[in-house]
Amino acid sequence: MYKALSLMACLALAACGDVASKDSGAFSFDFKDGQMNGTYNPEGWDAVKIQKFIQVDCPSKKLATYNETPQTNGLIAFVANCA
Amino acid sequence: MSPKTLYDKIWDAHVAHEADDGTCLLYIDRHLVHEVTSPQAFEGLRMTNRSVRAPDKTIAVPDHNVPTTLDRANAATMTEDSRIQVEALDKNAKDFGIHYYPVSDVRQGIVHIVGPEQGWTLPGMTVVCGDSHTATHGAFGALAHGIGTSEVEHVLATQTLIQKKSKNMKVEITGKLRPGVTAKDITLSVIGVTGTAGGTGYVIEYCGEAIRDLSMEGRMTVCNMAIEGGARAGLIAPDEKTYEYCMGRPHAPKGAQWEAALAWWKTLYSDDDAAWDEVLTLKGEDIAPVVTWGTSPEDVLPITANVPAASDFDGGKVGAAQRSLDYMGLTSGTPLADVEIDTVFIGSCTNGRIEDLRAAAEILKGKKKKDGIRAMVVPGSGLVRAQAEEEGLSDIFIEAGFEWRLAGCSMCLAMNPDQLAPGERCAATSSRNFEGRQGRGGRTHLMSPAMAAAAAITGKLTDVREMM
Repeated sequence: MYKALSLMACLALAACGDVASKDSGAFSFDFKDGQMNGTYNPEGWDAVKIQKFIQVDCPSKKLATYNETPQTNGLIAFVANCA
Repeated sequence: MSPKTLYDKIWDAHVAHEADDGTCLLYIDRHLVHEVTSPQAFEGLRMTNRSVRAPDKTIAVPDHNVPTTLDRANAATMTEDSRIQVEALDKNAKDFGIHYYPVSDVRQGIVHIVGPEQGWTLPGMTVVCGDSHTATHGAFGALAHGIGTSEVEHVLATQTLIQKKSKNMKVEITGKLRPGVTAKDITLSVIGVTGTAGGTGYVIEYCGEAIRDLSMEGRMTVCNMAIEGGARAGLIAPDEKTYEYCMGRPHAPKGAQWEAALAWWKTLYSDDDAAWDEVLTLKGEDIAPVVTWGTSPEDVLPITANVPAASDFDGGKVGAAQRSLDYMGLTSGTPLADVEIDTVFIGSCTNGRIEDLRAAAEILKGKKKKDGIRAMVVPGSGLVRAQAEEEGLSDIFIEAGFEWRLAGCSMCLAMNPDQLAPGERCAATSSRNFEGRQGRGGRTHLMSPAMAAAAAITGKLTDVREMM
């Protein structure tokens, strides 16, 4: 019984790799000289959340500009500047 | 079937081969990788033309060396050695196709915070990492421990690890904790009793009402420091809190897979009549808010105590205590609550989770740090940082005069720009207080996040209960 349960669980956990490959939480950015360049997966993030998150790092806590460009791989690229 | 401990059950479920001398080949479910202990291991694979055996179970994130300031995208913020190690991890993750959270990824953070947060760590698993604080993941009822770089290479290549089984130790914390007493006080108090070698040769299972009452964050703090007590690993049996924490995490199983996993997880507890090689019981109500006074995590006392004298100890500890007192610049008989500090560090894989930040913010709300104190909060991951900002905790820290940093190991260890200067004294929520741990000549006092926050306000080691 115990071995059977552990085997089932191992099979279930092994299958988690499929979930991982979607990587819906992807969101990366670099902050340099007051400008932020990054990408995010729209399955897990949206423009409002992204702006709310990145503006905290601006000295003014506000963004002056925020522009998005969809990428061929399904991710959204963005460029933002602090106010 | 003979009764088993939780450790026995996880061990038995992962033995791929047992040799005549008892040495086993264990299957490894999750291999966590950071930039410091992995470069030689990946190079070893390259030199022998091998690949990573299970890239889908191998997760990498840079944490030890990364600066925590906003300008960290600028390579000039790192030392040459650090930059090389981080760049090597970038390249190795790409070349070998493993899961990777680079510095620019919002999910980046301390590997032992990212693993659970992303659902990589689950009950019943074997989890290894080239880092001693891998014990953290034991909070989920996972057998988790640190490994050396040669073992990192072995696990990368084979997804197995050669091990001999440890003995079973039960540490039971009975009853309720008093106000102001936290998971950090539990784990430091246990080490205060066992000493840093008391757990050698054992895997510790923490149990009892006070442990069950802890959140998952608190349980991670307890297990994180199992290694400081010398144990191979720390474990806490999974329960409803564990399942609730895991459910919905990005890499946790879903649907029928969740149900199958849950059925197994519910068998993961020590049988009533399981045999223990060692048992330690502490009463929860006897545990006080504690701080360390020396240069070992076992040098721990209630904040209401005085700095001890070397003559208070026996045997070889007499000399060690005197050396600790000299290094720490402390005079025996001084009330610990009179010891002035220069720096406050809130963060690390021990206490860099959202609950830790909430506890510190609760003390700091509407108050200011004492003038002249350097104080920083370093969230354990980018997502902890985001959550803290969402809850307004970052505003409390900034208004109190703290620096609000990006995620990383930061001042837990002197491998990045966040370091103590010689002679500087720090109230730290991290796990180690060895000589030079936070910077050459730096003096570390370990404590809970709430105690560290209280120290920032008064500029001295402080009994947080006076501020509650």
